[in-house]
Amino acid sequence: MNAQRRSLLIAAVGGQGGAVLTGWIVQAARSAGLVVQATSTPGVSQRTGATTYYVETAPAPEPGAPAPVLALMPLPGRVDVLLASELLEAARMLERGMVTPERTTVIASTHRILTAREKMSIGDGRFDSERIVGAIRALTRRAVLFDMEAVRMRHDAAISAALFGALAGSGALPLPRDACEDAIRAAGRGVGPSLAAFADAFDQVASTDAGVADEPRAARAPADEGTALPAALAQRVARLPIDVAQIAKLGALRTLGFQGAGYTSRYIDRVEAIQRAESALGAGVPASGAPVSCATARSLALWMCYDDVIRVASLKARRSRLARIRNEVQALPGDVVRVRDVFHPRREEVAAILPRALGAWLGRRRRTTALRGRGIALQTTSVTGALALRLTAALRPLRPWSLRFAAEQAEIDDWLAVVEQALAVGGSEAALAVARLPRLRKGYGDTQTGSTEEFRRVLATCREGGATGFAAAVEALRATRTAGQDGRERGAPVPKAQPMIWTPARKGR
Amino acid sequence: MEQSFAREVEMLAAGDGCVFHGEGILAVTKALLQSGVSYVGGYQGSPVSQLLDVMVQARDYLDTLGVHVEACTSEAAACAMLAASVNYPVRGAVTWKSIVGTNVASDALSNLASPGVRGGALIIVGEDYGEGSSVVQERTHAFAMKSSLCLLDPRPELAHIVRLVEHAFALSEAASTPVLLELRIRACHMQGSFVCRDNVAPALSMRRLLAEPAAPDPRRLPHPPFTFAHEQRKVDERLPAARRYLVEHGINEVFTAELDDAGIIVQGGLFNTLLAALAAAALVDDTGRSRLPILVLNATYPLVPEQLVAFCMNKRAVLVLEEGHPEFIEFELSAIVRRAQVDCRIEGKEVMGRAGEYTAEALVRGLERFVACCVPALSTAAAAAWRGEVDAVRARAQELLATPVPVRPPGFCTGCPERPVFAALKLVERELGPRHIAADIGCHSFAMFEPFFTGNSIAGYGMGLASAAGVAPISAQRTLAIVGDGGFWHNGFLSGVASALKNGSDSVLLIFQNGYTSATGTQELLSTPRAASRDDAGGDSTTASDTTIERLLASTGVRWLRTAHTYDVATMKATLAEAFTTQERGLKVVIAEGECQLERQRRLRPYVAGRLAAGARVQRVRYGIDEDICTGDHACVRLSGCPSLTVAQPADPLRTDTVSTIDSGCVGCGLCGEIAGVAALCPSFYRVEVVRNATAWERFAARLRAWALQVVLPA
Repeated sequence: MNAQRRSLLIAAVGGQGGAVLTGWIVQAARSAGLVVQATSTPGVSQRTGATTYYVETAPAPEPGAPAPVLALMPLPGRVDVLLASELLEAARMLERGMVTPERTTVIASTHRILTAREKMSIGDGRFDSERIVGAIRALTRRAVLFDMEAVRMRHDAAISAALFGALAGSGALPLPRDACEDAIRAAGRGVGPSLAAFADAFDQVASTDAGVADEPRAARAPADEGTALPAALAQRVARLPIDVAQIAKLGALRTLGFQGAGYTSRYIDRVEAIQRAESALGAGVPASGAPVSCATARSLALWMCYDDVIRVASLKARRSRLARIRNEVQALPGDVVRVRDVFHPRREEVAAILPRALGAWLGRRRRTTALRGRGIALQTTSVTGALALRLTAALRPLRPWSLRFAAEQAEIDDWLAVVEQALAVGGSEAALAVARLPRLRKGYGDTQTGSTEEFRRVLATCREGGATGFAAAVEALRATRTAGQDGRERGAPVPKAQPMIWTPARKGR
Repeated sequence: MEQSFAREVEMLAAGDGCVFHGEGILAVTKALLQSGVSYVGGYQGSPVSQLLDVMVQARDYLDTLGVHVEACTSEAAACAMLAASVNYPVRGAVTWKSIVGTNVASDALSNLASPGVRGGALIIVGEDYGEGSSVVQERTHAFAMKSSLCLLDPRPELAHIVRLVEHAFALSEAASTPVLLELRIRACHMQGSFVCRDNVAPALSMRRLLAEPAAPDPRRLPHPPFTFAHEQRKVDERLPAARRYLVEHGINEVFTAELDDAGIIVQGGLFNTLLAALAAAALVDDTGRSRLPILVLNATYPLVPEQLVAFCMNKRAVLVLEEGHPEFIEFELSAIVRRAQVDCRIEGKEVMGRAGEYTAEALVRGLERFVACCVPALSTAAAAAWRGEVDAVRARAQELLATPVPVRPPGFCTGCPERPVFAALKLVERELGPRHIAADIGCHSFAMFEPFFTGNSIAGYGMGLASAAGVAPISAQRTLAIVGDGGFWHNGFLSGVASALKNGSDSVLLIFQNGYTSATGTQELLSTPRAASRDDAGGDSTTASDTTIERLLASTGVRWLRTAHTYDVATMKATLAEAFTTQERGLKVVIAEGECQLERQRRLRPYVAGRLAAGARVQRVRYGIDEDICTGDHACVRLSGCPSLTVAQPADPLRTDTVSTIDSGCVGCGLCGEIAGVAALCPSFYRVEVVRNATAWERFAARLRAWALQVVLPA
C-alpha cells in the first residue's frame, strides 16, 4: 500500500459523538487537500453499545491520474492511528489485532465507561485499567493517553472535541491545526466549548507522553466518624504492629463515632486477639507484616458500624452533607435546592432497633409487605424532615439494648472464632480469606438476607470442613467478581405462594 | 426525529456542477431527484433511515418539484406503492432495510414483479449484513432470483453509485422489471463526494396531474391465465432485455492486468475492500492496480453468461467473491462455464469459508489460499507474513490483557422510559415466578441483554403476541408478549391483537408507547403526540396525551386494558401482577406510556434554555447516592443498568469494594429512587431538586428553612 496513505480507526461507545468527530476529520482532511473517505456501522449499536468509525486518507492524485480507491473497513495490522474515546474500547481493538508496535499510534482517553456486566458484580467486577494501559504501551508505536473526559467536563463540550484536539496535537495525521479548528467552526454547533476542549487536549498531548495522570480520589471518612480517641485507647492502638495500627486507628475512630469509647475498647480487644494469634503463628515468617490482622481490623470496623436506621439517619441529617450535595449538583448561590431521601423501613428494620424482647416479638410476626409499598420520600431540607431524622439519630444511646446489636455481636464473635481457627489450622492464606469474608455481607432487604445466608453458609463450611473447608472462603471471595453478572440476587429465592388461575374452557365464552 | 438534516436538505437542491459532500445514502437520495422520480416511499431502518428522513424534512422543496413522499407504515405498504409504475409511465423509488424489510414486502414484491412495470421502479435496500447488523443474516439476492428482479450492487464510490441509480431507472424501463439496488451498511454511511446534475421535475407529478386513469388491462393483473404469460415473458423477454441493457451500458466493469491466466469476479460492493486486501497481500503493482484481472459485477442479477464466459476463457482459475450463503453466483457461474465447455476452475466458498462477512481480513486469508492453489505465478509470502504478524499481535494482546474484554451490547439510553418497566417486570418475576416472554423488535429488545436478560423469543417485527399463540395454551403461567408502538402499527395489531381476540387467547400483551419508532431514529407514528401537546408539555411526558391505541383496542373488544406511566414502578409492578393473576379471561393489555427520552431531551433543551434566558423559573432534578450508606452490592445496577448509574472506588479508606454512584449524565428520570423504594433496596439514594430563578416565596421559605436547619442539624 502507498506509504502516504493513512488509516484511522475510531473506537467509541454509542452516544459519545463519534459521528461528529468523523465529520470534523473528513472536513479538515478535505481542506488540507487530501482525498478522504470515512464510514461507520451505526444502527442499534449507537444506543450505548460499542461502535467503530473508519477513515482513510490519501494524497490528492496527480492531475489526470485516477482517484485512489479507499477501503471501507480496517485491516488488522494495517491501522496507523487508533482513536479511542474510552479505555476499554481501545482494549477491544487491541484484542482484534488492530494495533501493532511497528505502525499504530494510539490516542485514547483513559477514563472508563463501565460495561453493565462490570457494574453488576456484587464485588469489584471492573476490568483492570492499569492492565489496559500496560498493554497499549507494549503494543504501540506511540501512545497518547490522558483523561479526555476530564477535558470535556472542564469545557462543557463533547468528548469528541477533546479527541480531535489530541489527534491534531499528536501530528499522527497531516492535519494542520487551523484546518481542524475551521472544521469545528463550519459544523456550527457548540463551537465555543468545542474549540476550548480542542485546544486544551491539543496542548496536553506534549505533556502526556510521560504517563497517565489520573488523580486518585481524595479519601473521605463518613461524617459520623469520631474525631479524637481517648488517650488510653490511642495508646493501645499504637502498641499494635504499624500496618495493623494504621487500619485499627481508622476502625477505632469509626466505632467511637458509632457507639462511644466502650464500644471502641471492644473493637480493639477483638483486633488484639487476632493479632496475638497471628504473631504466634508467624514466628518464622519474615517481616511481611500482619496481613490477617489488617484484614480483620478492616472487616471488623465496617461490620461493627453496621447500617441501621439510626446510623442512616445520623449520616443523612447533617449540614455538611447538604452543602456537599449543593456542590455536586452545581447549584448557584441563588438556587433553591431541595433534597428528598427515600426510605422504606421494613418490619425487620424497625424490629432491629427496638429493645430485644419487643423486637423479637415483632420479628416473629408473619412477614408482610405492609411497610414496603413505594417507600417514604422524606424532604431532608424541610424542618419536619430534618427533625424526624434527628430524632431517629438520637436513639443512638439505646442501641446496645436493641435486638440487632446483640445479634450482630454474637455473629461477629462467631466469625472471629473461625478466623482464629483458620490461623491455627489453615495457614495465613486461609485465615486471610476468612478475615475478608464479611465482604460477602452486603445490601439491604432481600439482597442482605441472601448475602448474609451466603456468608453463613461459607463460614459454616470453613468451621466444619477442616483444613480444606477454608478453600470455600477463597472461592467465595473470588466469585464476588462475577457474581451478580447474570442479573440474579444471591441466596435461595424466598418461596412465595403461586396463584392458580382457573378459567373455564375457552370454547364456551 | 432524532436528527436534523437542514444541511442535507439544502444539498438536495444543488444543481449542475455543484459538488455534493456527504453520505452514500444521501447521494442516492439526490440521484433519485436527478432521475426524475414522481414519488418516493419506504419504511425506516438502519442503514437506510436517512433517505426517508431527509426526504420528509425536504417536503417543502420536493413540493416545488411535485415529488410525493410517503413515510409508509410498513415495507409491504411501501412496495405496494410501486404499483403506480405498473400502469403509468412514472418513476418511483422506495427504500427499506433488508433482509427483514424485503421479507415483509415480499407479497407485494411478487405481485409487482409478475406483471412488470412501465415506469422505472427502484427499490433501495440497505443490506444489513455483517458487523453492525441487527437482523438475521440472509441474502436479498434470493428475492431477486425468485421474482426475476434486477439486482444492482454498486462499487462503493459516490459518483459511481449515483450513475447506477440513474441507470437503474432506465434498466427498469428497458426490461419492464423492478430493480433492487443493494447498499451495504458501510456504503450507506460512506462519506464521499460527487458532481451534481440538475434535478428533473417529473412529467407526471403532484404538480402535473394524471388527467384520467389507465384503461383496465387484465394482462397487468396477477390472475391466471395472465400469470402464466407473465412467467413466460420474464424468461423470454424481460431478463434478456435486462442483460442487453447491462452489456450495452457497461454496467459491469473489467479491470485488466498483465497476468491473465487467473482472475477474480467480485460483487461491486466488495470492490474497495478487495483492493485493500490485494494490497496487503502484495498482489498489486506499483500504481496500486491489481495484478489479477477483476470482473466487477455491479449487477449481480441477472448474470450475463456471455460476459462471464469471455472473462473465464483462457483462465486456469477464477475466484468468485460473493458474500453470504448460499453462493448463488458461484453455482450459476460453474454451470455456465461447464455448458460453454470452458476449462476454468471456479473457486469461491471453498477458499473463503462457507459463511460470514467478507471483511478485509477474510479476503486476505482467502486470497492467500486461492493464490497458493491456483496461481503459481504469484507469491503468497506477503499474505503469509501479514497473517503471522496479526496472529502474533493478537496473541500478545490477549496475553497482556489476561482476560477477554467484556462485551458492550447496546442498551437503553440514560432515562429511557422502557427501563423502569423491565425493572418492574423483574420484581414481579421474583414474586410470581418466571413466565414465557415473547419479545419483539425495537429498543425494548435490548432487555435481552444485561442487566435484565428478559425474553424467550423474537419472531419478527410486531410479532410478539402472535409468537405467543402456540406457547400460551401449553403454559402453566400466563405468557407475556411485548410490542412497541412502532411494532404495533407495523404489524402487531393485525397479526397479534386481532388474532388473539378472535381466538380468545388468555395472555398478556405489554405495549410500549413511547411515541416514536425510536430504534430507527425516532420517526413519527399514527399515535405520536401532536405537535401542540409537545409544545405545551414542558418537562412532562407527552405520550399520555395520545389515546389512539387505547381507543382502537377498546373498540375492537379488549376488555382488560390498563395504561400506566412507565416511571411509576410501583403502579407498573402492581398492574403487571394483576394482569398475570386476574380471573378475567381473554387478552389483557398493559400500555406502558412514557415518552422516548431522546425526543424528550431534544424538546426540553431549547425549552429550558429559553426559560433560563428569559429569567423564568426552571426546576431540574438529579439523583445521587450517599456513598457512606451504599454497601456496594449493586442490586440497584442489576435492576436498572442506567448508563449514568455506575460504580467507583470508595472514598472511605476502610472500604475496598466499589460503591455505586450517579454521574453527571443523569437526566433525573427518577428510576433510581423508584426502585430503591419499590424493591426496598437501600436508603442511599436521594433526589435533588434545583430551582433556578425561584419565586420570591420559594426563596423566602428556603431562607427560613436554612436558618431552622442551622439549629436542628449538626455540622
